Amino acid sequence: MRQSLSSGNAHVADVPPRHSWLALPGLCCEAAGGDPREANSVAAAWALLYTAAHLFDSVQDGDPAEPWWQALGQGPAINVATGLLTSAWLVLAQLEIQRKVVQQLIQDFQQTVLRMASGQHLDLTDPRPSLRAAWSIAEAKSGAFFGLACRSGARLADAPQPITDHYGEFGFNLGLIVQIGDDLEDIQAGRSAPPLPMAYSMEMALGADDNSAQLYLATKLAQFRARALNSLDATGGAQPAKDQLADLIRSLVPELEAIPNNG
Amino acid sequence: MTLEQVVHRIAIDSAFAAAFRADPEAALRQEGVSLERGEVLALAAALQNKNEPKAGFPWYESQLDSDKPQAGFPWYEAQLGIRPT
Repeated sequence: MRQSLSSGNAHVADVPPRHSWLALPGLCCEAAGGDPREANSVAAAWALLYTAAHLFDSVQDGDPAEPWWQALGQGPAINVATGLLTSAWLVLAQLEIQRKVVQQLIQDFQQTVLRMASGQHLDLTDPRPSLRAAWSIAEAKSGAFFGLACRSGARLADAPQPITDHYGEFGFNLGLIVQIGDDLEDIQAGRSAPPLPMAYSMEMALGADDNSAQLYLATKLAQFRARALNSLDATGGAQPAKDQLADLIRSLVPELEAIPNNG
Repeated sequence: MTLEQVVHRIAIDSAFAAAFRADPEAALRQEGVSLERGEVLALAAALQNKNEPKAGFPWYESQLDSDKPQAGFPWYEAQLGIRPT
């Protein structure tokens, strides 16, 4: 998962909260009838989890070190990631809300970490995953992570379980859209082949000059976008938070004009 | 054929691509292929390069304008501004 916790030009440090991924728990809380301010700590825990996962991922993938840990090396970087992850649990444990909700949140976060770790395990151990496996990896990493943010927000609003699940589905599809957007961006920028299009090309036994992987990703993007918006619709959530979540989806459609479509 | 195979066929076979653009359901039926409606709509949207109707793609537009109950995504389409809520 490469996406940052930001959308557009806004970044974690300077973002107006409602235009950032960090706004997801609050927007979902508000749409589900709660007070978005109550989601601030959950958003912080989610951001800590993201930062820890990103750091673990960078070290495990052997990515170039970021400037702040370049001199420290991989060992200290792993240590920092462990600290960030533990801090996420502490933030959740200190929430001053119903004990039952705290327990549900912690359990959901931990189950999501397990799912993300299983996706990462597949990613690390299978250098040439099948298309089905590549989707499983994307679902377990990006889908699960974004699903957690939205589900947590709805949980804080004390939404009934089926509604909470719809918010989770919305976030899950949102995560896959973000992942596809990253992959399309990589292809269009000529960076190394990302797993999903590479797996599609292998599955279809395509040559290097075949560009149908982009059309395939664009199709899946449209499909997940529709699913996300339908999940959002099924929540029956309140406007305008629901509209803002829909706007988020709209803003995520990358420049599709460049995608070859044999037309 | 799966969605993956249909996408590939469109990319390499301009006659099939043209037939799909004109009438996706007929083109798929001709090949003995059955895709989910959501897959057909998604592929149609991707082929348009955007999620809005465009001249020259009558089937997609007619589907979106239809008053028939759709197995598809009415609210999604409304969100996209394709038809009024």
